[in-house]
Amino acid sequence: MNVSKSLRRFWRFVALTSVLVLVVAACGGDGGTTTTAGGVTTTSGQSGTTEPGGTDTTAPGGEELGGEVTVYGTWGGAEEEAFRAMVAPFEEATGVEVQYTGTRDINTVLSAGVQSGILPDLAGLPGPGQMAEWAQLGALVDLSTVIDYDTYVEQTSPGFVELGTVDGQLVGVFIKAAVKGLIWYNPNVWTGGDLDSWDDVVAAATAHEGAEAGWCIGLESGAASGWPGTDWIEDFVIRQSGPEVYDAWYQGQHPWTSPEIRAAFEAYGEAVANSYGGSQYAIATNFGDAGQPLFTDPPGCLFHHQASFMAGEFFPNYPQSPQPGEDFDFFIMPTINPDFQGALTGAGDLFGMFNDTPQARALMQWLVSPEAQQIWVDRGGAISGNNQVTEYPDPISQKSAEALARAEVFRFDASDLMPEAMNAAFWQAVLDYTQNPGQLDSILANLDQVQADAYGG
Amino acid sequence: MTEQTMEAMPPDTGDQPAREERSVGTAYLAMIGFPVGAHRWYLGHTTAGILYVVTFVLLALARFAFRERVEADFAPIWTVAVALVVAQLILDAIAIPRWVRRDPEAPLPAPLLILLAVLATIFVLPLLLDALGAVFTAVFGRDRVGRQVAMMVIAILGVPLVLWGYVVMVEHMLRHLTEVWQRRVRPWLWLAPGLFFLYTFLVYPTYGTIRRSLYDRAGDTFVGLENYEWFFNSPNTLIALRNNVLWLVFFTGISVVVGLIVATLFDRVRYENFAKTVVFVPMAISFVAASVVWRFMYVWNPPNANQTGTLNAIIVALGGEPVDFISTRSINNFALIMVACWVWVGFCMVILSAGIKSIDRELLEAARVDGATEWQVFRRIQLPLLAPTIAVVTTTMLIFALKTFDIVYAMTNGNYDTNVIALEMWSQFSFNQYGRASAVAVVLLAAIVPVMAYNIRQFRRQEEVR
Amino acid sequence: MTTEVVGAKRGFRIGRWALHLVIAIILIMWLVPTIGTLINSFRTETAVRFDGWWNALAPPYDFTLESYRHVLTRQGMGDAFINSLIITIPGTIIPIAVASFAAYAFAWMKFPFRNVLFVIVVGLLVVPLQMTFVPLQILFRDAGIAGSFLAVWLAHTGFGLPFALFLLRNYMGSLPSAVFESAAIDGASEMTAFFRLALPMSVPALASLAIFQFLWVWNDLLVALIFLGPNIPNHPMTITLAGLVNSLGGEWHFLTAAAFVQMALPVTVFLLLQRYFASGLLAGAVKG
Repeated sequence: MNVSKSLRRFWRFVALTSVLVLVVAACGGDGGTTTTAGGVTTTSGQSGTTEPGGTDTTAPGGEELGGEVTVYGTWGGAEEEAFRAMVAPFEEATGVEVQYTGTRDINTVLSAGVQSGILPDLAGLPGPGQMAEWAQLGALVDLSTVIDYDTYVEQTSPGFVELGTVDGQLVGVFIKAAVKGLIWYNPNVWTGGDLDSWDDVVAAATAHEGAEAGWCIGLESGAASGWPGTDWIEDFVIRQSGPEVYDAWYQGQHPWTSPEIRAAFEAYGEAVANSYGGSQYAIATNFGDAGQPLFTDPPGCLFHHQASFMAGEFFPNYPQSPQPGEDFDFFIMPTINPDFQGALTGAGDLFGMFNDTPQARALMQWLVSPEAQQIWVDRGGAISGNNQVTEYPDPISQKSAEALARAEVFRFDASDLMPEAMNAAFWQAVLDYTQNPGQLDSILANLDQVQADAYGG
Repeated sequence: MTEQTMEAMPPDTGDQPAREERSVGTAYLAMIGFPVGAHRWYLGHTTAGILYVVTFVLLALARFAFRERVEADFAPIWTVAVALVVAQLILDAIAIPRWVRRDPEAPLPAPLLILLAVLATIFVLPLLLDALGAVFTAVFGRDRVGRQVAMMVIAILGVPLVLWGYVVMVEHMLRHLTEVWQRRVRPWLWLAPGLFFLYTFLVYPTYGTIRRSLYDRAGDTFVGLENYEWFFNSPNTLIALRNNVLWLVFFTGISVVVGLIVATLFDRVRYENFAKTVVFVPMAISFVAASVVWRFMYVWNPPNANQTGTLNAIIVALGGEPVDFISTRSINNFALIMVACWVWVGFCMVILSAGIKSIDRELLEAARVDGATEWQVFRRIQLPLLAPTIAVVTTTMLIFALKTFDIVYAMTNGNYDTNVIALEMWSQFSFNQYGRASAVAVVLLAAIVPVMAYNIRQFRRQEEVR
Repeated sequence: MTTEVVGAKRGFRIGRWALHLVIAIILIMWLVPTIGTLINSFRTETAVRFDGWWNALAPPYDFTLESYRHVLTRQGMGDAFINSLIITIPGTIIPIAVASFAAYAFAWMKFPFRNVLFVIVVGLLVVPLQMTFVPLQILFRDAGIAGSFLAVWLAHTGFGLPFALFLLRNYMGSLPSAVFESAAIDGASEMTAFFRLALPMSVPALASLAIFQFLWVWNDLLVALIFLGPNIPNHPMTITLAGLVNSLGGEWHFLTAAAFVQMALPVTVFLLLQRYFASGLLAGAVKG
């Protein structure tokens, strides 16, 4: 081959090359390979699966749907089993597979997911605060188009409806509720029954007749360690300083270094000083195990300040197998300041929808129904925000539900309403304060610093 | 975003997995088979070349059709294209002997083999997929897994093949150039994939992060050094800085010293290899698993209760009070450092051990005969000779001390004053505070730069000797 | 003189016993944590919570596989194991494939800026990965592959490349140049030299690199957290395990079994192939 011929060939070759490369690039470079690798079609917004949403999409409401729905939540262990029991009838009736995944980092996962588009169909939202943020970003589906809005409003307490509403749109519904600020006791040890003033409680705890200490406190909870202490402090704030201060506080408008919040911390500190095992025990003990000294012989403590869900998965699993009513009972944390009576804090499991698929709709409709909520309630320790759910399996759950229904001044858990950074700082502050009560000033000042830029990011 | 894409996705049937494999296969075929046709064209086999081009175009069309999910057009195009490829294979089988005899330089079999391999992958893959899917469904009850594994297989086979084909193509193209130009261009083409990855995943993001750290949370307002101000004024991050200093000093110090001691001691016994393995094994364990293992060592129970934690059981047995290693602020950082040392001493030991063995025995013997004690032998002869090795190990440990994340994340999540810089970055990342997270990362980089400079200097010095 | 030698020997023998004792203590310190956890993984929940693991070594023997069963099926470790495999195997093979070509170029081809470029590679060795997360996450998101395995494969390739290049280039560079020279004289192309000479001769380096990369990717937590975090079904075992550690409610008796499921494969690989691992370390750290 002489030079010119080979050169011609070469240029023909190059021309061909460029044309073909352009063709391939145009056709193949659209993430085609990438959507298949790893099995995630993020363009459809579904996580981890490329299976599309089923074949026949018949009308929702118990008819055969097929397909699947992804759900993220924070529940694990016994709570997860309760959720699975709750959705089992739905799965049977509609043929939809509920793929539940639990994660402790739900806030991180969903925040990142809102940014990157990888989201589950339904998710247990960390709190109304975060929910509002995501709703404003347009990530959450307006549920008034999914469930029967009027029925929902009729059946649910207005407080809960409002908490799930952002800018007039319903984006979050409560499928389970809990009341907080309950003082648990063992009727075999504390025979004084319900107390209705905080001074009486303090007196009884100080005397702690029949038990080693007045209080049992357990703060450990992995990355969320400290949250039971935040419940204590919130209960003090609303009872000592009233709902207005409470509201301003969680909205970031009331400083942490104010006398009201300081008083709440100090009241909590007094309880710690009078607790079984002291601050060391409180820090090292998991919140689920902290109530055990109520039932030991001799009893380690008289009272345990915790939420209503303790009666569900936690107390009954203790080695002593305590029974509701017989071995454990509660009274609501009483009034401290007579100006602010009848206060009650609570929380709930808030669910939202990220992807509008027929399966997700069907599941959401099921979850807000009284039948579904009754299932979890029947397992004990859970309350429903739905007023059609009236049967409670034991007197304790019944009492909790009534407390919720009758609360004069009800407020949602403040730390769940705060932005995540503030919430995390609050948890840490509780841990720091429990270990070093003398550093309250610097702890509160630090919280003020976080407050300054955690809100309105 | 989700609403829009939901609309764009028409209803689909269950044939999707198989079609996706074909789509991937098509793309590979196009990229790999490409040099084959080009080569044939070059050799003057016009017919075969044209045939190839037509095939290629059809495959591209099929790819396009698939992407647009125009089902009706897809199947026949695909069938024809495959038929053409088969035809070419037959042609090749006939033609190869002739080619080889005519042009002994032509490394023909390679591209052909690539083509065959890719074809096999494409056609066998759906079968493999189904088989794997069946196996895993039986074992785990999930058929999603089978497809994921198939994806992995495609990646494992496909990427080396793509690289191979790329180099083949590059070499074929280069043969048109003169020797001189070949030598100039070839290295860059060979380096290209590597450089691409280095740039895209290391260089570009570094610049991107530095830039991002100067902007606010949302990313559109320039705020200058505000994020850095926050970093150096927030008590939480200052504690992280302090802790990293603790890690730098104690983690490095303990790991290197203990590594040296262990290497020296093990050197003198016959069961040295076994002993070294025991100490080395933790290196294969992830930090998270190590955190679990040590959690059970550190468990605290109230003084009057049964101690379930190994360390506290020993302490109580010796008459002391149990210590909560995790939450006691004066010692918890050291408790975490211990875990890291447990893992990394093996690394130091191996390297120092090699260094020790490289010292001439006779030198040591001569010193001993001259009356030197063991300690003097160690201090005056072994240590100075080991100095470069110790330096290498130390710099490596320093880097890991700065980057430590897993252990703190898993054991305390930064609570009780154990926060470290890498964890702080993660926290800010999880709060969607990308500006601050970037600033933290830049601080980390700044801390590492001295080590980087030292490494580079050492490297250059050794290069000169080479 | 004899007495001196004998005296020295006797002193030496006592010294030997002390040496063995010290070494024994060291080995025990290194083994105890793992063995304790291993034993705990076979015990029941109540046993783990209320009793130190050493008590299991005496009757009554109360062993169970319940933890492992639970962890593999209910806690998602089974899926996570598969995910870890899917992430690690390509995450090992791809960087090695990419690096071998580039390393050969660095080692055996002459071109301007060769040294400068390699110095940059050495510098990149220590860049903290945190520097890359935010922009890469945004990049992946825009490319539509965020949360997929492909994202993690690519990330690990990029991150693992400096070390791979360093190791392979040093090793290839140390191959006898006579071989390549005679091949060039015989008219072999660069490709032949690479595939037929350099690669086969570099198998030890490739093997140790493979083990390194495999262990590193299998045990990695942070990269997976950042790039797969939101996509829970794709989580490898490190994330699942870390989640269990941070568990919100007393399930940590499963931790032991979970940890061992995560550890089993890398430790086995390591024990079988430790020769290559050690030699790779040395080549990378001491030689270069």
